[in-house]
Amino acid sequence: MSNGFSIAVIGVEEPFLRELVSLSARTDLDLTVASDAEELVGRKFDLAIVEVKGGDDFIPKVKQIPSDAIFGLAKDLSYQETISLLELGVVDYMTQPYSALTVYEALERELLQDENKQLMSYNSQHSYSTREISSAVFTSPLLEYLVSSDVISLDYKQKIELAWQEALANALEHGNLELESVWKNDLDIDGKDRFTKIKKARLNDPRYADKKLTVTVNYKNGELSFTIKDSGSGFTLAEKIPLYKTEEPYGRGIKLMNAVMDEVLYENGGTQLTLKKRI
Amino acid sequence: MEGFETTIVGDKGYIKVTGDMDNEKAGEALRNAFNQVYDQGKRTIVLDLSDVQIINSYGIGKVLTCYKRLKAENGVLMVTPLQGFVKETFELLMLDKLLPTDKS
Repeated sequence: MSNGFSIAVIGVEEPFLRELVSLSARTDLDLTVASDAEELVGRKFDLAIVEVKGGDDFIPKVKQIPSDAIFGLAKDLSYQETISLLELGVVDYMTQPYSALTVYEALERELLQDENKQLMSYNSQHSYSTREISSAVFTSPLLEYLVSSDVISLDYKQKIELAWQEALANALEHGNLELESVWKNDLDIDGKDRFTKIKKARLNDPRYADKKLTVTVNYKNGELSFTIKDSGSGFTLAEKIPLYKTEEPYGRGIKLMNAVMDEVLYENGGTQLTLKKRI
Repeated sequence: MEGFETTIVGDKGYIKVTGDMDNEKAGEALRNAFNQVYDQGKRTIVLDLSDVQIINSYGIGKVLTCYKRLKAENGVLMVTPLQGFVKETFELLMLDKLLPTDKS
């Protein structure tokens, strides 16, 4: 995040440490890695990600952490120790198996709520595989923050999310999975369509399922923008528009996006889409 | 085979859609319910979307697939009176012109 948020990573072991660090390279977060809090004496951080192990000395160790906001990775803690952790003011915690993506989402959420720093700008970029995105519902901590701080209404947020989800679905299905809209009309005797069948098959084929999608969410000077880069072969709008008639079971995504957002911009031969909205 | 609840009232088949119409599970449930009513010979089918909070282009695509299957047999796909987000989305995409409202 481009507000100069500094994050300490304390006592986190491999291989999870490597996951955290590589994910941070794709975001704007500034990570400092240490094996324990003593190494960071004299420094202050906005947030610390700490691997907390059970045992007698964990409370004083946690108190040493140079940050008011602690995100705990709780390894082998007893029930009582977990309660103590929460009483120490840990903002959130996670048990194994850890997920770097979940940690980052929780961090973003936490940092956005920092009252000492007003949200002037926000930038976050994540890369996902096609498989990861297809099984998740995309939301953004930025939008949640904008609702909870009354910048936008819940209704407004839902519409923006809808537009973003449409964009993601398109990048996923037409971009990475190379599925054709017209296959939705190709039904078998039970009404099952070809599009759905081929989609399922390709999600299980690493040649398709491992393809990357990069999503960037940016908020600056009151303008929200959302960019998706897919690994497909691109397209031109002129080819697609004639296919879109009201009664066909496709073509709605682009219409919805245009209806909700101020700007819908395709670049790089149709493999990069940017949605913008001034709030 | 899991699907939404269906009822037959005279010549019409009703499908009660529950949950959000934005994922594959919902799409399957709709297809199964549609087949159930269609296989009983009904060509006027009414979708009750009053409990649906969110619908996206995926869900709409599935609804339109039902529309097309009926249209191919001179049938009609209708909806019960819409409200909220679903109503707004239908109007935005001019689907309210395509799918008549069942007021019974």
